[in-house]
Amino acid sequence: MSSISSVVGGVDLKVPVVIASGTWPYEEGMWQEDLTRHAGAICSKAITRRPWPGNPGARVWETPSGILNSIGLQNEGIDHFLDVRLNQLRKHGVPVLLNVSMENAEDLDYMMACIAGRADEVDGIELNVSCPNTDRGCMSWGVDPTLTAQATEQVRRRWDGPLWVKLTPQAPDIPAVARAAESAGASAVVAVNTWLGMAIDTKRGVPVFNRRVAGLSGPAVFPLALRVVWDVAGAVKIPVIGCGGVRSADDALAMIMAGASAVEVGAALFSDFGVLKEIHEGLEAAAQRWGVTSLADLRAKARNTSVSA
Amino acid sequence: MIRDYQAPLLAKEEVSPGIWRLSLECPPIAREARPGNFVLLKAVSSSAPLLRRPLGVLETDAEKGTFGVLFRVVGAGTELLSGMAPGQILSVRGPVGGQFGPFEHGRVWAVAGTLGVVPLLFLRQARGAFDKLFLGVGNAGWRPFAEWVRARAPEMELFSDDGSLGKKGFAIDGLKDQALEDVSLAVCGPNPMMKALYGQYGARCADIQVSLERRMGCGMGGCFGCVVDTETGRRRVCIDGPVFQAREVKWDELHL
Repeated sequence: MSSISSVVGGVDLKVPVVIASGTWPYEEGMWQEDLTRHAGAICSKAITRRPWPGNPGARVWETPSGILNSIGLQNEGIDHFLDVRLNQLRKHGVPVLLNVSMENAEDLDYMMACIAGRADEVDGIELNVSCPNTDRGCMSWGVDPTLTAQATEQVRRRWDGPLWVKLTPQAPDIPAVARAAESAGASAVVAVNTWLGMAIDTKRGVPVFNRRVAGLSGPAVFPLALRVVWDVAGAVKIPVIGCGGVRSADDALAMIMAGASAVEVGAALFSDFGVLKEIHEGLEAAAQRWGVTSLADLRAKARNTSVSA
Repeated sequence: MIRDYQAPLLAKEEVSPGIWRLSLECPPIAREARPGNFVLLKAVSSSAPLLRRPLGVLETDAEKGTFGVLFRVVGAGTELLSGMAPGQILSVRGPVGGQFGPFEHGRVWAVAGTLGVVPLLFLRQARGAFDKLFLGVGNAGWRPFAEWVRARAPEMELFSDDGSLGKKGFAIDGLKDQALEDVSLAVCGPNPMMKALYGQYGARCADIQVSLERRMGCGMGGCFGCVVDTETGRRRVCIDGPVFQAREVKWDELHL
């Protein structure tokens, strides 16, 4: 049964399935073993330097097989996270990556200095240069290879542990951003955060969201994310964590065969908690079916066997 | 504790055109749900639609392990739910949220706008009849629904927008000229109704408990998609609510 566990980007994943940032609460009742034993790790909700109220107005809108969100990073800030939340989360035996999100370099340095003081208690950092729902920071770093490298280097000055960089599909050249993160010291890249979309309320004749745009996730984006995983896995040597619309073991396997070492699951949990167990058990079954001793043997299988274009 | 359960549909009833009551077998929900709690239902395991539909719990029977919901068909998700046949399995997430009460006063009046009566009927199951229950509906098309409510809550006083059923006016008009100082109010209906109620009667009634409705993503506190502005910041309707003290809600910020 250990055939699917592995160390990915420095994080020991018993199951190569990670709960994506912003999709799971801190409340105790949702951290019971019956649910979380099927998750290899969890990424915290985005954390900012200061408490942040997030976006006003409508925040979610259902789309065909997907969901648009404009949450805008509502959170209690790094000080409260480290004072209260970190201890809560550490009790449950699931590795926790801190999703760190910043407006500017000064914020990032402040947060990383705080986190460095608690380094022994933190399993990893997921650097968020990809949230599309803020007016400043976040995605404006991740669309640019140079800025992504700067942010990654800056984290590395304070942090030598696992560092995943979560990419944005809005980058004109996503593999170039992934390479920049790799050169700057990332342990892994997560491909990818949400796609920019929008919705119009035709009853009122106005955009649904105050910021007009919002991030699309859910099964609707899976083929788009799979293509990005394929491209990024071909561009870097560090592990790639596939993220975007995964809702079944077969989706997870496709991500792995495209070159991912693990997957993140988010919107699928809104639909069904059972997706974690299904992917966990489905990947174990797939490893057996393919007759491999480690799931890693299936990584990039489709890359290695496909006819070159 | 919020979990997903597979629940067989035991019975369904169209209490009024387009308004359905479903009875489901689900012992954990039947045991744990409290008035004000809601569940999120999904008719299909496919991703169309992706999201669950949040519905207030109408009633429970802990001994039989059953609970009921009542909803109006408003889109694809509720259409699918209304088309389920007895014996088919639905996915139920819940029970979610806080509850009505405790109340500051022994006398509790209920104010409901159309299907907002659902959690209030569950409260009635737990507490017994209300001292007063005001229900507001639109027009004569709501007659079967109003009669269905009256059969369950004979104390109901009915208002309709056009005067075709009961008195002409809104449910909150039932509060006019009443002494409210020693009354607690339990309220559920469209947000504009609750905003108007608080605007007109908030100064005279210290305990107004409102159950709010918002579009939801996860229904378990994870996504922060359903927040409302309150005196203590932006809070999640799903697990910080759905029942709030009316004075905590920043009604001017509450869009619909």
